[in-house]
Amino acid sequence: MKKQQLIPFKKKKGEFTSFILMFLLVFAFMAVSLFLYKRNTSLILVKKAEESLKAATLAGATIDMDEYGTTGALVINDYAKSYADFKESLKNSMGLNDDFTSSDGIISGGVHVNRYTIYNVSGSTVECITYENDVGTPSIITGSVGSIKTPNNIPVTKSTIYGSVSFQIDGFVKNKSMMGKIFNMDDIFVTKDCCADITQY
Amino acid sequence: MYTLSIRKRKKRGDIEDIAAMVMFFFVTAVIWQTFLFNQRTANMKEDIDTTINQYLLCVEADGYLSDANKAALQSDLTSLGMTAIDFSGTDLSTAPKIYGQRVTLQVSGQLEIPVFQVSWLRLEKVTTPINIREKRTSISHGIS
Repeated sequence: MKKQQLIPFKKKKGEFTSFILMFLLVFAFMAVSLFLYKRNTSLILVKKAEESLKAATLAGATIDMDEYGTTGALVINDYAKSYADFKESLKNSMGLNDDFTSSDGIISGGVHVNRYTIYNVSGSTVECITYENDVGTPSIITGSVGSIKTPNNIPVTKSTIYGSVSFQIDGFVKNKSMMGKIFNMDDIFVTKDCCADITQY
Repeated sequence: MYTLSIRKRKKRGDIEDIAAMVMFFFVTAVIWQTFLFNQRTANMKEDIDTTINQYLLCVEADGYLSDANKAALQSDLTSLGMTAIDFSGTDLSTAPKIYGQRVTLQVSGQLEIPVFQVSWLRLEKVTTPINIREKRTSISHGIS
């Protein structure tokens, strides 16, 4: 009789352990699946950002045909249109909202245009028109061919457009956590830039 | 008496273990299925993106999406699993854009994602449609 009373106690303990084990296994499996999904979507997004930036840089390349007809120089004189075309192309390619935020739940805080520079080369003179940090008014400086370089250290010898964007991909775990540091699952800060020689298009 | 109770315990324990295992496999299958669905969707969308970007270059060069390119793009997207493809909003040959003007390529439709679902204890392959709407803009390099 005594033995019969002891048996149910042992059985309950075993049940509890096996359920805990199953729960942990399911949790681990779910964590691994989520991590793999997040990693894959992040890689796809970074690749998409690169391609979008290339396309957008070219979209900003509207040569002033009148000046080309007169002086033969391939330059962009409508800076505002060039910048607007660049931003519109970038927004559509990356599937962003009008305020450059994303509704896909991967990018947090939106996409920022860090820098957009038009390098107009005319003879031995380079005119640099730069839009920085989404400010609507450009800064203009002039230099000579050979002395001006793009931010990614390419000497400007032909009319060129340089664009740089950045955004943040939400990490799998919260910032600065031990797991994030060990498994590189923290928030990812992505910066991409692109340089396009507009005389080839 | 002792032997009987041991047998009873083992049988009941087996059933509980089996129940736990079945639950585990069920939950795991649901998670795996969701993971695969999302993964497949992301990969198929990436293929569609790449295809549309390729045709945007043609739109840039011509200043519009020509009828031949439209048919080719439709065929490519269909082979990627897209249905009900619509080009509303795209600059077509009826309204070509001159050099420097903004050109648009817009594609919408449904993407059929193949998934497996359990129906009457059988595994069936079905497709789940998701809506796709892709828009690209650039400038025309066509003749001015």
